[in-house]
Amino acid sequence: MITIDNLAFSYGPVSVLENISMRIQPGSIYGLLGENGVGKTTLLTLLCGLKKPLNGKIDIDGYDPFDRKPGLLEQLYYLPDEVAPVNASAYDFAKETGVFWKGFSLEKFVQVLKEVEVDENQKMNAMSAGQLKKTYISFALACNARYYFMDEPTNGLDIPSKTQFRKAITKYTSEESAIVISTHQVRDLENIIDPVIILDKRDVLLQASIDEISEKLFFDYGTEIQPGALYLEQIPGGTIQVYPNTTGEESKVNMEALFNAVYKHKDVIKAMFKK
Amino acid sequence: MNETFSFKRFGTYFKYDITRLWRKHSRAVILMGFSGVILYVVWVFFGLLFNQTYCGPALGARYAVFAIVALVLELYMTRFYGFLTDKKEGSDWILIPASKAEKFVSMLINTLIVIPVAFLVVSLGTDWLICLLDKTVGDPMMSGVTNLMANMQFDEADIVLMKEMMVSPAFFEALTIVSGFANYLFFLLCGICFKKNKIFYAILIIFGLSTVLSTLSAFIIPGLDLSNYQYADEETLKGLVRGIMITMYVVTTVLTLGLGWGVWRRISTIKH
Repeated sequence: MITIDNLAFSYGPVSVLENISMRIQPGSIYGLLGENGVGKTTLLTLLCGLKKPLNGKIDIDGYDPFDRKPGLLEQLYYLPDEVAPVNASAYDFAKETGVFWKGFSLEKFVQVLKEVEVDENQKMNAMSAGQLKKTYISFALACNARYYFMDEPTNGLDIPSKTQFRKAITKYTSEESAIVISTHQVRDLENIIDPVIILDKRDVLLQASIDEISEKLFFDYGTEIQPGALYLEQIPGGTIQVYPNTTGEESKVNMEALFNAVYKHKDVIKAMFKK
Repeated sequence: MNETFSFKRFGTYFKYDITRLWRKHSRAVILMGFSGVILYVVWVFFGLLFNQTYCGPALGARYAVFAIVALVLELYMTRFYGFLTDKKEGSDWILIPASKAEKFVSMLINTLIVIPVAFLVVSLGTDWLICLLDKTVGDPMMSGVTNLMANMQFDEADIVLMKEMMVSPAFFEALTIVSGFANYLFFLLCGICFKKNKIFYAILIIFGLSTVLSTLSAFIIPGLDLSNYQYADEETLKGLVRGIMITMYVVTTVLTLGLGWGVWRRISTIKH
C-alpha cells in the first residue's frame, strides 16, 4: 500500500504541493486529475523516488521511494509523458532492460507489442512518438510490476491506439497492481479509472470510487435545467448537469463534468465526500 | 534481498551498462583509437603528393597525436554518463532496479578501466600493426611504453635513495595511476553535474582553479626562504624532497577520493 502523509514540494520559491495526504491501495486503476500546474507529474515523480519531498512522508510497502532501493524499484514502473528514444530495437531494449524486473516476461512484451501493432525489430530511435510510447507501454505491462505510475499515457496515441491501450491495461495488469494514471484526456480513460483523485495545490479535493461518486452526485443528461446544479454545461441535444444525488438513483459519471463541478464547488464537494 | 550490493545483480547491471556504452560510444572510442591510422594515411598521402616519396609518420609525430587524442578522450569522459542530467534518460537510469552502489561501481570500472584500456588497446594495437607492415615508420609506440616501464625498474641504489625519502617505487607508479584516475573522475563528475556545455564548464573550472592556486602560490612562495636550501647538506635536501613527495601523495589521494565521493554523492541525490 502507498501512504502519503502531509506531502509538500516546491520548485525553489514556487510551492507545488502542500499538505497532501492519501492512501493508494493495490487492485485499482486510479485516475489522477487536476488543473495544469497543480503537481500531478510532480506527485508521480515523488512516488517513484525521482524527487525528494520537501516535507511529509511517502511510504510504499515500508520503503521510502527516494532511497531508491532495488527491492522497491523492481516493484514499480514509471511511464513519463515523454520517453527516451533508445538506439536499439524494441526487442533488444526489452531483453536487456527487462532482466531487472523480477516479474518481467519477454513473451508478454512481444505479445502486447503485436497487439498494439509495433514491429519488435524496429529501432526505437526510428519510431514515431506514438510507436515509441506504445513500446514503452508494452514494456511497462511486461514488467508485471505492483505499482504503475503513468503520466499522460495516451498523449501522442491515435484513436485505435487509445482503445488498444485501454484493452491492454485491463487485460495485462494483475489484480494486485495499483495503477496511478495522471491525465487530462479524461474521455480516453473514463471507462477504466476507478477511483478518481482530483488534486489541488493545497489539497486532495476528491478521492472516491465511481460507486461513491454516483451515490452522492447525480449526472443528468436531460434537457430540463435543474435549480441548484453544481455544474451545468449545454451540449448539442441537451445538457450535462451535476447535482447532489438526493434520490439514490444511479447515473453514469461524466469525468469532465465531475472535474468541473469539483473545481467550481471545492468546499461543497469536500464536505460531501468527507469520510 | 540484499538492498546495498548483490554480486549477481551487479553482474547483470554491469553487462547492461557496458552494452549501453558500446552502443552509444564505441564508434567514438574506436575512432580515437584509430587516430594513428588516420595520421598514417594522411601523412603518406601528403608525402606522395608533395615529395613523391612513400614515408609514414615517425615515432615523435605518432606520440604527439596519441597524446592529443588521449587528452580528447579525457574531455570525452564528460559524455559517457552525461545522459544522467537528461530528464528522460536520467529518470530511466535512476529507476533501473539496481542499487546505487552497484551503479557507482559499474560507472567507476567503465570510466577508469574499461574505456581507457579499450582506447589503449586499439591505439597501440593499430600502431603496432602499422609498424609491422611499414618499416619506414620506425619503432611502435608500444616499445616506447616498454622502455618507459623498463626505466621505471629502479636499480638498488635508486630504491635505497627513494626509501630514504619515504618513496617506494610501487607507490611512485601508483601515484601516476591515481593522478590519471583523478583526471578521469574530474571530467566524469563535470559530465554528471552540468546539464549543458559540460566540456566548457570543466575547462572553465580548471582555469578557475589554476588561477586561484597560482594566486595562492604567489602569496605563499615568497614567504618560504628557499635560500636555506642553496648550500644545504644531503639530509636537508632529502627532507625537502620527502616533504614535497608526501604533500603530492596526500593531495592526489585526497583529490581522487574527494572526486570519487563527489560522483557518489551526485548519483545518490540526483533528481528529475
